[in-house]
Amino acid sequence: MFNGRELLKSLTEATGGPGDEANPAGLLREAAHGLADTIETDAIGNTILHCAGAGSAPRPRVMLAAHTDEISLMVARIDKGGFLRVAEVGGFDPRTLPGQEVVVHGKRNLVGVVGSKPPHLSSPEERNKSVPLEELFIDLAMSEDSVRELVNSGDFITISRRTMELIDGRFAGKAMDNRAGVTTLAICLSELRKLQFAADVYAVGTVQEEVGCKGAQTAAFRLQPDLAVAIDVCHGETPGVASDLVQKLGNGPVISFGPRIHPKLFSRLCEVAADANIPVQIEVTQGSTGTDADPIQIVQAGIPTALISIPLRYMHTSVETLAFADVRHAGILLARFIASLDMAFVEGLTCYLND
Amino acid sequence: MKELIRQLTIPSGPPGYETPVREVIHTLVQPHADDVYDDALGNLYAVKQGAAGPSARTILLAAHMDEPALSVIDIDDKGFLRVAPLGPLRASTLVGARVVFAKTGRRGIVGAEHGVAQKDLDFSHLFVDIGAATLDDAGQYARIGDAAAFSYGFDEIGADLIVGHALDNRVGCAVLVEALRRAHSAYTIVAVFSAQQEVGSRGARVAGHRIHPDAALVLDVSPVGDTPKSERLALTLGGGPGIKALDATMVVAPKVREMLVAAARIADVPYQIEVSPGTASDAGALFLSREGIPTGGIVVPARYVGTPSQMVHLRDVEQTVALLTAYLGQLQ
Amino acid sequence: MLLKRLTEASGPSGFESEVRQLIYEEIRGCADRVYTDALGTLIAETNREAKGPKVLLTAHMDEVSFMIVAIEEQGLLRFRPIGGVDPRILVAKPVRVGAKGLIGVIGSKAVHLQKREEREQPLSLDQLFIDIGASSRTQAESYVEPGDLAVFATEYEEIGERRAKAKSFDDRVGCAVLVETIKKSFALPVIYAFTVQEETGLRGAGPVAYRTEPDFAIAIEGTVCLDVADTPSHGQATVQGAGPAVSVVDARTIAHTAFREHIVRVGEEQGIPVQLRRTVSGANDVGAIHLSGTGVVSAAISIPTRYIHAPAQIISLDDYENTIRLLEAVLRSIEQGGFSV
Repeated sequence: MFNGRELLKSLTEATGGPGDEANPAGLLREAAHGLADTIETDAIGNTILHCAGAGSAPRPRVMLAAHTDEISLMVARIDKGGFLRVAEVGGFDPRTLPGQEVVVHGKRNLVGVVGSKPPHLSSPEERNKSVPLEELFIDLAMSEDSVRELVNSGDFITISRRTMELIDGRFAGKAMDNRAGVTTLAICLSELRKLQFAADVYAVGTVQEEVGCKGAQTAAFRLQPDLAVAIDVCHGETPGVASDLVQKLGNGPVISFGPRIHPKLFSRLCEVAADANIPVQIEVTQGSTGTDADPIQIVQAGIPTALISIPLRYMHTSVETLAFADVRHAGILLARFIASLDMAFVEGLTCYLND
Repeated sequence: MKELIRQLTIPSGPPGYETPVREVIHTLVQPHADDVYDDALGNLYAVKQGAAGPSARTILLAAHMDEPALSVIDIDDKGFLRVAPLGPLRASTLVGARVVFAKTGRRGIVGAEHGVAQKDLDFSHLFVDIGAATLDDAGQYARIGDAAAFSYGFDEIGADLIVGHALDNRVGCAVLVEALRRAHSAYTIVAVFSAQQEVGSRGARVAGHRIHPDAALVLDVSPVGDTPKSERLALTLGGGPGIKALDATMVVAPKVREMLVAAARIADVPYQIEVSPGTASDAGALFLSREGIPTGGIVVPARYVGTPSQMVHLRDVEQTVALLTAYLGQLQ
Repeated sequence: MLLKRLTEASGPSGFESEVRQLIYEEIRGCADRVYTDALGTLIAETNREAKGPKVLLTAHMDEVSFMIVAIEEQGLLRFRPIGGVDPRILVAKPVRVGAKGLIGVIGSKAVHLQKREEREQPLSLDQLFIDIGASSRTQAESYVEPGDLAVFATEYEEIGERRAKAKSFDDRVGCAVLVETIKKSFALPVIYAFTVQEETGLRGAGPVAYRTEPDFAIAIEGTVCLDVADTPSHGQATVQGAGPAVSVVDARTIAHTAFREHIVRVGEEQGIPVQLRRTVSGANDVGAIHLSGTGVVSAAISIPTRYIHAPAQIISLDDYENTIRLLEAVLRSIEQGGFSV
């Protein structure tokens, strides 16, 4: 078995930007060893862990999706002096980058620093404006010749950050978005081992969510599930942000409500949480959720979809902060939810008429 | 190659109205394909069966036929046309542009209302003058719903450089036509001359679904970073074909890039790595087809993309064809 | 009266049950099979065994609406829009909140209490709230909760000369056209789909096109019409009273040229006034349908609707009736083999 906290730590410290997810995918496969009946990787890199349900066919087909990629950068060009210009792969706030330590994945891993002009040398106007991405550069502290030998345009760059344990079971680090979701998947599979369930479960570590939720769409097309649940992160309470846009760390996983979420999946998740005494919070949405749930809902003839999120402060920075208890509770909630499914429930998902 | 590209820049191809280009390409590819057909979106498909026979795997090669253009939305009493963009265009750059209506051959000039600063111009301030004096007069040459393409000549600078307004992406189409002529592959090649890339790769999306190939490559043109104080891009004119690592629509898997790098070595041509976050291509749409298709791209470096005078180095084009041919030849 | 019942029903995107049930009861006797899909789109299949091209007709059931997202200390409700609404038209409008349709008003600081600079700025969403008359959060919570939905409280009325005013002509007028059309019979397999969640991204249409694999598709919409005041011709998009408007280009679709030209020709031959939609902004279900599968030959026909996405929309009843006539004529032409690709 695995230790959830340790898994979260190793997953968040692993490097894997969109299109380059092999490292975290490998850790997921290792963690799922003994928990899944089959493990495979599809043509574009999604990791699919299959757990067969009990009983005769037809069995409900459930897809879980948690993206394995983290926002990262890519070498766009090597400039004079060996300084690297970058493109983003996923959405960064460029203001969080100056001074950040990074790893450039060239012929070998190289330590770099995102360079910036010190205040002594900046004009008053410059100091009042944040530096856009095109003006940033990475300093590898070596000669241009050495850089050109070891680094190429197209090489991936990830944020360098050790995961830190704060007080009260809180953790801070890079890539909590969405290695927290991937940890949740592993915890869910581990919990399922203790339960009876009829559903065939396909837990997918999806690729390229940060650049348009790509892996989730193609995986759903292939798996054609009866229903799907995406697991991602949502914003934790932060000063100055409207109350409906944030959730409290430590108060439980968040169940989303809104047009992209099938109402019966929402209700069932709430019921299961209440029955099992799992603390949960509700997030109301009015359209796009910005997660893998979005493309899955409209794949082929449509798939009933739900979304569970872990509250996370400082999203898309290198100090993303969450409460481990929320991750654990999310995994347990998912497992109990899966155990509650039967074909009658699945058939009811397309019934919207009162006769 | 120069003559082929020149020939392809003559017909117009607004998104959704690519028929003139499609007809020229159809004639060019017919002798080299086992089957040629089109679809509801206007894509043109040319299929060359693979040497491996009926069980051959399939590779889809896509080059978009369309170019940004204008759609007529109104005609006033004095015969002036009002227009809206088809594809990415900025109104502020269009004053004085020359256009042509393919249906009637009538030419026109883009004018602007007085009193608006150039940077503040939007399409509601522009009009097209086709030399008509009245609404009825104009109606002989253009109707509401017609599309007008930009119309500038094809030029040469020195022996190696060619200039035109639709090199993006007639150059890609030329590479694909040439590959169909020359290439031999174990794989079945489906060449897709795609429609409506400029408005979001709509043609590529349905082509990917229809063909569901084992792999896909896009052939396109991509901006360089070698002019004074240019955007910080790595491609240089004359530096050889670009192998796509990232563009606005997708991140290419390192494995796919490596296969193309290997092909460059076989073909003995230089190559560059393309990282252009601001440039869209059909790659993303193909990648997302059905269960996902491993997709990559080869691009010809170009200067002044998005202007009437795009510039390309002929050697880059030749080397792109060589790289593509070598890649197709070594597919197992 | 069909248009009255349809426009007064509540149908926020993703929560279309009231409209869906209403339409179901109107049409259930008119089809071989009536069912809903995973997203809640209502699908009625007619003439499944008939030869001839399969035609998909769509109209969306959802309207722009609001979701209550928080309840303030003093009992006022914070809300966010579902679908695109210009926040400048919201202030001082009545709404109906929740399943019981409780009346509320969208309020903000009274003009007397505003500084001059404030008065020149449009009110943003965080300055607006819905007031149901509650004096405290606790009291409000006994009536509503976050997640509850609200729609404009506008009542249907026939006004002016052959015009009607209501909320949600976009796209209940399209739904009404389909309800009137399903009562006719065509020697073609025709599928009527009352789609969900068009306003939040054309969500329902793609899945129903994928499921039904039509040969042709036509969406009936309510579309933008600004033939008012001193708007120049090129800023109007459509003209009210000039008949159904056939789309050419919009933000998600470039119309299939031959199909739209055929529709215009059919109208001209039948003496039905037809116009072209003269703007490239906006989108409709065709955006998702035409790219489904290997591509679907599609068109959109719209009723010009003044003040679309606002509480009091106006249509011409002549345009409505001419749209019904045009749609029938187009289906007859397809039935008789008058158009193929």
